[in-house]
Amino acid sequence: MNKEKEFLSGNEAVAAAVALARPEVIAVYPITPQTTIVEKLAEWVANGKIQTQYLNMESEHSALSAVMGASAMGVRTFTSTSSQGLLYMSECLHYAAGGRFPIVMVNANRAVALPWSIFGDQRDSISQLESGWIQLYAENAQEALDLTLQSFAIAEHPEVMLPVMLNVDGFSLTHTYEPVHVPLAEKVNRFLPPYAPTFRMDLEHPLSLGFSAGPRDNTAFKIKQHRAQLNAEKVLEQVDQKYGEIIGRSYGGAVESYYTEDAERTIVTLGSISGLVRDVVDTLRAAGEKVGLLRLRSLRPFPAARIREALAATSRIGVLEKNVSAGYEGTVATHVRGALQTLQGRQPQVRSFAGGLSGRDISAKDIRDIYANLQSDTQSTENEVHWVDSGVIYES
Amino acid sequence: MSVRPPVIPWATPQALSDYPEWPHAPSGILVEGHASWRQALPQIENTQCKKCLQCYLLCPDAAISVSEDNKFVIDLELCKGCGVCIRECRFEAIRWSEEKK
Repeated sequence: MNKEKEFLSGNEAVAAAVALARPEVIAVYPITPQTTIVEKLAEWVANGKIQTQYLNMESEHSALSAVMGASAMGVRTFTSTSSQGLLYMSECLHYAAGGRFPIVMVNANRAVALPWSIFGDQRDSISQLESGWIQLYAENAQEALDLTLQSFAIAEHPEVMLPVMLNVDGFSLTHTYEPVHVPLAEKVNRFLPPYAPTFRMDLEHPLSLGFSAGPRDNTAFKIKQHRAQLNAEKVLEQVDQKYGEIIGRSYGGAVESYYTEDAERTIVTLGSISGLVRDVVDTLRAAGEKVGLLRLRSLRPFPAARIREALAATSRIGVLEKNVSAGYEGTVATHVRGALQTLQGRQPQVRSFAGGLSGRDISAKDIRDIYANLQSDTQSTENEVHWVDSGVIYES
Repeated sequence: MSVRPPVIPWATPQALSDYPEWPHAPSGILVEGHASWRQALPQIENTQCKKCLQCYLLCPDAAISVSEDNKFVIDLELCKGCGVCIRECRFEAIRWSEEKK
């Protein structure tokens, strides 16, 4: 590992990674809390630190459309957005995934209106799970940097060729400063060589790009897209391993298990709150409680087999997410429940916890309360959402 | 005059592997003809045609081609009868003709 250590916010860590990845086109539209990524990149374009075509677009819909066009020309592309901007891109999200354009986009997770809020939660990205994009979630600024670089390698892998949305929690990651190792350019160049496109616009060999496919042919393309997503689970582990060999850090692929081997109660979560959950696990373990943490680093592809494997010993599972699907429960909870359906012989209890909505703090006490709730035998009614919100009483 | 790539009929795929990996293909491959959508057929009057190429360029289905004797012809398999060519022709050389189905 090199000694380059800087004091960076999550957004600055992402910008540092983008500079190292050398995209030829960056098309963006600013939105809080993503803006400081593209501000930093714009500054570096202006002072000549990076050479790229930087397009300041008139909307997020246009920004993603522009990088799709650039990607069709066979170049590496980057964009970034958040919340309402991501939703404004929604049409283009499906378009980019269906068109198999290996775009990398960082989404600064933020609440979606109404009520209006600029603060962080995961409702924006989770609402776009069906768009066909790979969705990764970082825990801290270091992982935001590492995953930005890994995202390009995953997206551009010939067995994948799908866009990647890397999610970083708004403010708690994007605007929080941490010591971050920034890898040397020569090492990154070895990990991430220039993009060698499988197809591109070429006057000598003209292509019809993005053609239509009607009732007879459409399913075939959706099957191929689905298989590419499934391939991505294996590829993201290979890429993570290669990153570890060259850069010196790796994360173990789509999930990270912490004391799950013998855990009776496990919290499954994603993003920046995982660090606090890990601290609480340490405290409770020291007091003799068999608790564990399973951190999901990828929601698409959804690592169902690895989740089953990691939760084999656990009988009570709490899924903590900064999201809720009104009328049912947390979407990630539904996914985890689904992954465990095929467990032979036993059916662990899965309870849905929604917290951190619109930047509401989740405290260590909240986490301890979740583990305490999982200890109670009171069978929650199916689809009951447990609201994590210290200090406020919700009358039923 | 630049030559548009020839239209290559695409054999009906029998297996998943017969499809390209993504919805892109070498230009000229015809995925679907839309003749069945057509309610009326545009007709080109070549004596009025000034060879300005607007219809050739703008036809969304690449249904207009140039014959060896430099005449513009409409491919009956490809034309969906949208009328873009009629609208765009500044010389009124293209008009609707009643087509017997």
